[in-house]
Amino acid sequence: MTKAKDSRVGGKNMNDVKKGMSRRSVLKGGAVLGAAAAVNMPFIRPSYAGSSLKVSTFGGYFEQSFSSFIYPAFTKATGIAVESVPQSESPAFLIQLQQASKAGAVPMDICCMPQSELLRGRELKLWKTYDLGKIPNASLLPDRYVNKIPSGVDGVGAMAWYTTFVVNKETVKPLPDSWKALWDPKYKNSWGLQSGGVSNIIEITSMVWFGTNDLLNSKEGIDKVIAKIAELKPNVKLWWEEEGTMQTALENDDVLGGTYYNDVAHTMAGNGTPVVSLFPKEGGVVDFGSWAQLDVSKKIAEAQAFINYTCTAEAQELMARHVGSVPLIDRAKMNLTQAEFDNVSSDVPPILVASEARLKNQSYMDQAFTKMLAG
Amino acid sequence: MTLVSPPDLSRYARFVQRTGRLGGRWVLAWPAVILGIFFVIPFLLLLRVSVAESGFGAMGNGGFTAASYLAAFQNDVFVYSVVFSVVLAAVVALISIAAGFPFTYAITRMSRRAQVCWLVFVLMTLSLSEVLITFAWQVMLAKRVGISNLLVWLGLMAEPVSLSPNLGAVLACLVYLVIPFTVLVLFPGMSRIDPQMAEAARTMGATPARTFFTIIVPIMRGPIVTCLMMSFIVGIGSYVAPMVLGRPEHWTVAILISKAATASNDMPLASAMSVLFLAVASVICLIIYRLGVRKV
Repeated sequence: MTKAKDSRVGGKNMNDVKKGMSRRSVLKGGAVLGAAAAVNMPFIRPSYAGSSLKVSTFGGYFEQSFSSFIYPAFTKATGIAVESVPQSESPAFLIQLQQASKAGAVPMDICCMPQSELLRGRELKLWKTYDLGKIPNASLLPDRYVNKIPSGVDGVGAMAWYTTFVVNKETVKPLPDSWKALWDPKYKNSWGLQSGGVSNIIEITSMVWFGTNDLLNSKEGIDKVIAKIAELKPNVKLWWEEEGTMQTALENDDVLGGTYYNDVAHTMAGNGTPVVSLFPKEGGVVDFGSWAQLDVSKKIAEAQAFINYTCTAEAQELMARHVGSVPLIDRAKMNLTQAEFDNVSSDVPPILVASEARLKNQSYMDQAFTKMLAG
Repeated sequence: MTLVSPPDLSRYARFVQRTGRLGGRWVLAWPAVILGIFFVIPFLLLLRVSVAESGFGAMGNGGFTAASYLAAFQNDVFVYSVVFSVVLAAVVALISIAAGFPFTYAITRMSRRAQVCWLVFVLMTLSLSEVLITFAWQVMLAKRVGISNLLVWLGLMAEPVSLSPNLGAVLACLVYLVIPFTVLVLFPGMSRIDPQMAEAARTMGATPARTFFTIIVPIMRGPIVTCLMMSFIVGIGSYVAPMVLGRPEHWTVAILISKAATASNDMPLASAMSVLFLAVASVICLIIYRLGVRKV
């Protein structure tokens, strides 16, 4: 529910669907390319050339962009064909994986998990650990994107996305430069904020008013943060659950702005909606997904090759341009223009999602949030 | 009229008579099997999960405990939401019948061709998904393109306003969803009412309104109760409309259950809430049913 990208109905998706290749044509193309690569390099052909890998990303826009732009480039580079699988964003996805793994089925070899879900999957013993020695490019990623556990590494960063302060530039003047504007009494009944214990407003409130996310490690701390969020209630018109709801509200002037996804906001602005995505001085909230390999998967070498490829500057640039994701590697190592970079990211240091605290206290956060809203 | 008249059961009845008691039982076995597979077994699983210990995963942590039921009872938000859902469903059912009953009566007085057109139209709205309808309402009530613009154009309002999210929006959308059911349930019975009865009342001096309330409504008592029950059930299980068009205080139990199941990953709590809510809804439906069969 947090990142229901599949519910997006923005024009970008439609256009890309039209422009992009169908999954089948990508697969066909991939197979041809794979065969060509195998023919071209008969002597240095790696053992996996001509094989295939099932990779899942969030269904909808993400999956389409990946299968149109990223997988073909990977297949060209390695000869491994990729079968793209749409992935549910519901937390029930992990339960489905658990059931599949009990039944010995392999719905996909690699999936893209948000950090909190990666940690949950770890508790369910769903993931294989990687041999980092075989994924040299992982060293290009900052440490926080590589999930080290005692038995190895079970998640390597795939892509990131920002939640920013998205406002209607025609009605909100001057443009706010701080998240504190959300609390400003002059914006009565104006904002649309993501609802529920999964909402990043928790991290935003904690960082902006208390200067730290450590508060979220304890129930008392969560209570403090939630009490501060309660002060927002007169200003919030829409507590959105589905991002499509917020998109419609922004497009129809039902809200002046609020917390929303940077990439969708850019798409909407491109389609003529007068919205602007702001990175307040405290930073946008960045969350990221990691490539996790299912324990039941047998494609070890192929998975290593795939992850090694996605950690390259080339792949990260492709993702920034075509998927709209935030690059995980240092900007200096990439060839993105200023405009391309500004489209997906910002130099303002981000607010990080409190993944560990969420793993421990998600249930409490959700209850406290619901109680605050209904109370 | 063939569209909605009940199926001819006489051949089926003869078949049952001919095949005798044993054959009759076999015929009934099929629906029983289907009911068992698609209702009883999932319900037993739900009961099982509801008494499991809280924990992540489809079954929680296994074990037996009533902790989830206690947690649901002690949760003010849940209790409030149960009451709210029941009241919401009742209001939706009453508005739908108040609007749908005269509407259906008007249809039955039309020509055959007009009747078919209206019924096809009503059936068509049933083919739209609930999600689509809800988002259409969101746009329809919006400030930039919504119906308030129409009112401004007509000179009835000074400037366009945003009409959602609020309780009125939730109610409007739910009534829209329920009315087709109301019409389809009421139509067969109402179209069989002999027009001479109303005429007789009129010749004896009854006003049209009096005829309607003293002749038509009492004859339709049975379908009205069925209709109320059906509208109530559709309303009480509503999920998308309150979530998209309502504020958090308008959240129904269905939303809380889905939150417990997906956001908190607490399947036992979600199952316990479902079982409790099912019990409440069943009791209310039973009361409505008893009201229907009781002779005046």
